[in-house]
Amino acid sequence: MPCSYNWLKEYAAGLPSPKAAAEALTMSGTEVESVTETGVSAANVVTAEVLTVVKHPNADKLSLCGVRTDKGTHSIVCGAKNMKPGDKVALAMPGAELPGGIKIKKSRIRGVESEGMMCSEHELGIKDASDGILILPPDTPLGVEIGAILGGRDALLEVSITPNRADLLSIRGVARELSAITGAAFKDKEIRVEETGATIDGLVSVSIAEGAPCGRYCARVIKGAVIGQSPAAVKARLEAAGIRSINNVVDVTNYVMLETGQPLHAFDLAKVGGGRINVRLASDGERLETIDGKARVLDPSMLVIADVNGPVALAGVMGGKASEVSDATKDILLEAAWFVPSSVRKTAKKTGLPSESSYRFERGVDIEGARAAIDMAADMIIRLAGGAVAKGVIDVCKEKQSREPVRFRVKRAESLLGTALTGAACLDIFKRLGMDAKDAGEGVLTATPPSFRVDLNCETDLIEEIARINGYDNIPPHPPVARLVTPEIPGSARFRTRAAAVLAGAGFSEVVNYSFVSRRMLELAGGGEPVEILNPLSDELSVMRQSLAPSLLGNLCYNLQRKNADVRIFEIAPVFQTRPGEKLPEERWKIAGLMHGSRYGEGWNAPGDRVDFYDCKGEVERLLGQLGAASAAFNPKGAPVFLHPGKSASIELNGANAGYIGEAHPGVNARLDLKRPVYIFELDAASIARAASPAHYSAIPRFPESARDIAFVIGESMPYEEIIRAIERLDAKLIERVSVFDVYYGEGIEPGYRSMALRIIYRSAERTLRYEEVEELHGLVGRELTSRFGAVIR
Amino acid sequence: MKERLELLAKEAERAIEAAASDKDALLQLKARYLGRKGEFSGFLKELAALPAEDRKAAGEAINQAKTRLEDAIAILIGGIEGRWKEAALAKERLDVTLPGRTMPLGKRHPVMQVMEEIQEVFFGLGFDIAEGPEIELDSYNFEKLNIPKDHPAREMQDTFYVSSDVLLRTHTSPVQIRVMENKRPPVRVIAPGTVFRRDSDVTHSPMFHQVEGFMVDKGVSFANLKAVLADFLRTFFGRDTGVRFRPSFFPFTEPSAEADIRCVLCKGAGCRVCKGSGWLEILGAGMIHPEVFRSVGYDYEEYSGFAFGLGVERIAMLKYGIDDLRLLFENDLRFLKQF
Repeated sequence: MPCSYNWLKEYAAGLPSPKAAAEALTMSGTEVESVTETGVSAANVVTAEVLTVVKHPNADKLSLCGVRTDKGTHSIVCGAKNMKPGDKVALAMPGAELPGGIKIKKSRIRGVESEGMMCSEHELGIKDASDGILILPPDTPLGVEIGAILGGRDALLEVSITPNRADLLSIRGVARELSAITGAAFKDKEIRVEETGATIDGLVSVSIAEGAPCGRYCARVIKGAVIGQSPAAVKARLEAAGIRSINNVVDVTNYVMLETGQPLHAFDLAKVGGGRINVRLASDGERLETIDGKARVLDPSMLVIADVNGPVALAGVMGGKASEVSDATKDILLEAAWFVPSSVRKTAKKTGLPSESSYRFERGVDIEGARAAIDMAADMIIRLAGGAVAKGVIDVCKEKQSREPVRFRVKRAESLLGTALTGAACLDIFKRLGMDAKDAGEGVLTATPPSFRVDLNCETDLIEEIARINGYDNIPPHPPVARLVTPEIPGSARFRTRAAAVLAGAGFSEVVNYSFVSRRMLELAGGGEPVEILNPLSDELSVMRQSLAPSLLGNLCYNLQRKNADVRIFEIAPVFQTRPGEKLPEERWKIAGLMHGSRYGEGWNAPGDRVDFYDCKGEVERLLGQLGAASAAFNPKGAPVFLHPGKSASIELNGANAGYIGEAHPGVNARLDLKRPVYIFELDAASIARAASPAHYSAIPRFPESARDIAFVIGESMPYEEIIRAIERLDAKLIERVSVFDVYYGEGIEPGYRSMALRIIYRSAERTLRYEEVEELHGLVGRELTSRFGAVIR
Repeated sequence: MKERLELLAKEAERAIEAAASDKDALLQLKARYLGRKGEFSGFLKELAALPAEDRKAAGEAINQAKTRLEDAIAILIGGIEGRWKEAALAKERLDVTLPGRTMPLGKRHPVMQVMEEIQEVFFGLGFDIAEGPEIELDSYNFEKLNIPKDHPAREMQDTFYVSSDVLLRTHTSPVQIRVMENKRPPVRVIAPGTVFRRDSDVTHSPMFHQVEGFMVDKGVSFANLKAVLADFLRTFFGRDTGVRFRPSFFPFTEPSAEADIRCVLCKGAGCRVCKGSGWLEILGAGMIHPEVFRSVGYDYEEYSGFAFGLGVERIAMLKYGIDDLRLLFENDLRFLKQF
């Protein structure tokens, strides 16, 4: 909220400098985001009227103007085009100095004397750029210093007000706060309304329906006002607050709202049927055209201001089009009310109509402030628009809000803040904040917060006030004393951190992707019905991931477009799956990786090999090994369908599915326009953690091994793992290890077959094996391969 | 015998000196003087003829002379051989400035690195680590944190909804509730995690990371909060980092505070990063609100606690000098490999 420093000073004349005031606000909890110098600092620039405009005799682009001030007529050469006779302008007289350092003196321009300069808003330092000179309202008096019209030198404090401090949503409120913090005296304005009209009771009536969320409704009537433009100074203050000037009456309601925080509404009294205001909930299907020209269909949750014919305004949110103040309006019904915050909030949300008014009502307007505000507005209207204020105010007060005193224990405050306090100092702070505070003895104070501090209700609220006003800097830090116990980390978190370290060590870089993706990307990896976001930012971010693979594929595409061809990335994040009968979906942490491009990277001494399935599998094996789950089985069946059916596997740990690995399906490559094979794995973190076992020592063999090789031709569809399992089963005690050292297809081998060479390590834990024993066992292996798999030993 | 021994040693020394750079000559000298049939062995034979009382001293003198000559020859030969080897090795030189052969380089994401560093600091202070779901109940994300429905404070956090009462958590604070509902004080917990807000522009990402922390015990005070957080910030940003606390508002803490550090770029002079203020907003904190204690069944008269939350992306950006938030989620390898 922008706050004019000069306006603040109308309430607290003794304020420190704008910068100091801003610092004080910030350090008391109301952050000032910026301080901007504004307004006209020029002297000797006065209001004037253009009488004549003729072309400069010696220059096509210049005009020669006759301009009148209260002192006489001046001849001015001007380059702008937007003025015409009768316009009121800002004339810089000889001797004037403008904000940009320009000094004005009499001069001859192309042979014609110019006795000053008509200024643009840019030249006056009000705006960064402007088109043509400044044209002032037609009723501007002549010969007045421009600073007095546009507001003189000022500073705009951009104040960021936290949602609890409704009382600061006004100039008066901020001034009051500044006074409490800085000690500058606060002085309220004295408003006396001259009531020269008829008695209000004969003109309007107000009723609040039973159960309507309206605590107070004040009304005043002004008859015979003349609708017109507001003076420039009023307009300037509204504009600085981001409010468009409408007409003098509407501007007054906004001006008084900015100054006091009390939203006001002005009705055209002639359009309020029967002059009878009824504050009630809308009936279902009732309609109202709001000031913005939109027809609204109402429902019984919405509070309306109605006349005998139906709703004329959405209470606290927006007025109705039919009863708005227009140029033809003569008589005005002025409203200053107090509506229940949650009701206004709901209606503003439902209708999508957040307004300056609803913003304040939602946060809590001072119920005691309506009367002063309506008087200030009435007084200002007759000064700006003329007319006569009817005698009396209608003030329907449904609930008298009396504030309860709050008990404050000095000891409690000391213990919560961790600093020493005195009752007297606290009492002083409460008083400065406008509370009715007393010492109740025995270290207890009682303080009754003022009506505008809707945020102060309990002891802790008051403790915060003490800390805030004293200043947080004045609470010395003090390290806590705590019991010394070992902290706990969930095993799963520790586990994921280890997985990340292993993968980074293996050359994978970690990516972080949004948890939501587009349906199109989600479907890339299949899966059931996803968790859907009701209000996504876009279709691209509309469903929660069920797999990390689509995101990694997206990262790959992004990097390939940027010529990062060698991609090794991983991500560790949860995926989401709806659970029937449960409110919250299931969240499972996944560890996923992707490999693409060259195996060794680009280097002067690196072979140009590209990664293949076995690189990827090797990384998964390394990872599982490091995590203590080396016993994984790779099942050629059961991998997701977005993988190549012949180059993929599901990963099983202790017989349970724990993830998958494979090359992306050529169809996926085609959809993503990927030219080269991509390898992906995704592991379920909890499944690995469950299967993982801590390292356990097994004795280093004391007796020598006997190694034997065997080579054979075998049908190529027979998985290697089955072959070695069959061999290992032959003698679990004496066959220590089987490994492959050659796989060969091609020349000399019939299609559909492959040649394999295995090395088998025979060893006993108890003795040195005899040559004959080993030969016999090795013969058994050969026979098993032949009989079980139809292998031909070579 | 003594004179003859000295004479022979002198002669041998001179011969060795003369042949100092000739390995073959030195070997010949070694054989001639020190060999089994060498000139010194003659003296050894004479020992037997000496009276027993002189034998020991004479033997030592012979051995000393032999050892001296042996050493002299060995040093000279070693030197000759060394020079020869150096010359041979010099021909085998590599260009050591060529790049080394490495496995492809992998890096942790900067946000994750920072998140773990933050956890480590608090883990060192004995804070447990806890986690909660990213898709959360409205009651945990808002209501139990003293943010009722239709409260303006909800506007501070634009929310993604999954259903009317299920949402993507907007902060890690619901973990406070989940922990406190299940554990009696004293508690000291840090809760890192991913959070979501319906907001996306140059300075806002719809998903980001937070670290939540809180401590509840008898007598925990605002002065404790200041000490712990200032200590953390100085551990993280440097011992001489300026830290200030100023009042703020969060519905779930009271008194609430915002902690600023002296701008890491301009050191307080005022710059673009700190918007001229000289300070950088770094974390939100406060004493846990009585309503929050009520919702988890903690006695507010008996216990008190502080809580804080910090945005990991912001800290990572400050730490590494990253000037665009979007870089953190684009996952460009040229970016990721820098950390």
